[in-house]
Amino acid sequence: MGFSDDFLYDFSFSLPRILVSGKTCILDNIKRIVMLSEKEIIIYNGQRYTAVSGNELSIREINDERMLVQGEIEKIEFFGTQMQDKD
Amino acid sequence: MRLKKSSFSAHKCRIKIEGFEIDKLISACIDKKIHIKDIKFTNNLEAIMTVKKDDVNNINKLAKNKYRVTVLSQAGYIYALSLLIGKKALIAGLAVFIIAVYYQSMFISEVRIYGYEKLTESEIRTSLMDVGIYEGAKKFRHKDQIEDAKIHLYQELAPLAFVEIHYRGGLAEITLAEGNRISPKQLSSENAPCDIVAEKDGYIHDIIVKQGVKAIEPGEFVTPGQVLISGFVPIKYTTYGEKDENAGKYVHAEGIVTVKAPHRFKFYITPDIILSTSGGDTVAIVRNKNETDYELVKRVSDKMVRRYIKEKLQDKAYITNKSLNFRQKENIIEVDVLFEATEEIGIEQEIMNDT
Repeated sequence: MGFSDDFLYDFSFSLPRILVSGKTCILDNIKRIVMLSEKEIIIYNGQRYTAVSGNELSIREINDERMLVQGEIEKIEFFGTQMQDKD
Repeated sequence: MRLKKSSFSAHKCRIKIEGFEIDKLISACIDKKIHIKDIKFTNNLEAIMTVKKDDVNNINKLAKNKYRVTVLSQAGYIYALSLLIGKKALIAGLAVFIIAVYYQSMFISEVRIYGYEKLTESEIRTSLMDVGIYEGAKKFRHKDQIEDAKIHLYQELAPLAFVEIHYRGGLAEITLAEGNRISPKQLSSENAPCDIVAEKDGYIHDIIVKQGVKAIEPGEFVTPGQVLISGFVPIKYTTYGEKDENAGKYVHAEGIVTVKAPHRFKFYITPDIILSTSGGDTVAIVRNKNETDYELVKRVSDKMVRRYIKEKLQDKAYITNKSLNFRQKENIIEVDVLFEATEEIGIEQEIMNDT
């Protein structure tokens, strides 16, 4: 990974950033929560949306635009707005 | 200056939020940097979560009248303390309990003694009581006190090889090991420099030196207190030069010095009874068949000499020459015994050196 990629990764505060390990998932750059349930969590990152799907999902902690999710994670999806899709 | 915000461990609240679109409220909380933990959705209209006590009011402000916020439970050390402060009697009781436990821990509740063999437990307990170790006594706080107690025990319960005093709560454990330690008095008497001096007068018969320097020669007459074997060993110079005549070292003189001394006593023999002039006791004796007067006198006199040596010379003498002189007066035989015996006369006398 080059310097520009590193820089972009560290300082892109409105793009989805997610770390998944086993039954734990850390979502970064949370601007707004769109939907919360035991089966799906959808968050807005500022430019894109992130959806985590699974079973028995629970939020362990929300702090400083960061969310720690635990549960059976099955699927992670990223969405854009219609305007962005047109671009 | 504003105080630092409390942490979750200080004071946290488990709250229940009821209303439509709870996710919007949580989004608002994220915007306000409110720290939320353990969010649990019971259904679409209800969620339970944990927040800091300071943030409950902020959530209430954000919730306005759209959501109902209920505090279910509280936890944290600040919360526990605030509960305690309200219960003064409980605090006083706790303080009294702690003080009582601490005060109790200052005293000995039990004394256990390990490792004794020849000594009895009561003997050891008496000595321990003298130094202040017994049930109900105050424990020693300083190391010096324990060391003093140990020294006392070493002196009182000698010979001890090892003593350890250890407190385990209210239990005082005394571990000791008995040994064959030589007492200082014994040590000094066995190794202290000394001379061998004459106990009584007589002509020296023989002298055997084990340690020290011979001070007399066989045949010389010695008086009581005269040095026979000297404990002072002078240095022998093997080179030329200045010689210090008084230089030498002191040793514990050892040796056997015997004198040849004459002894004389008289006794009477009746046909069946002996009257001894030495002790005045009487011994019945029966004449053997066909035994002559001389044989009878010889047999009795041997017995009397042995008794004389045992009583007068403490069994340390050996007969070298003996003569009997007897005469019969009617039914009584008068016996005059003269014998020569060698006996040890050397006794230790400590050298008292002023320098």
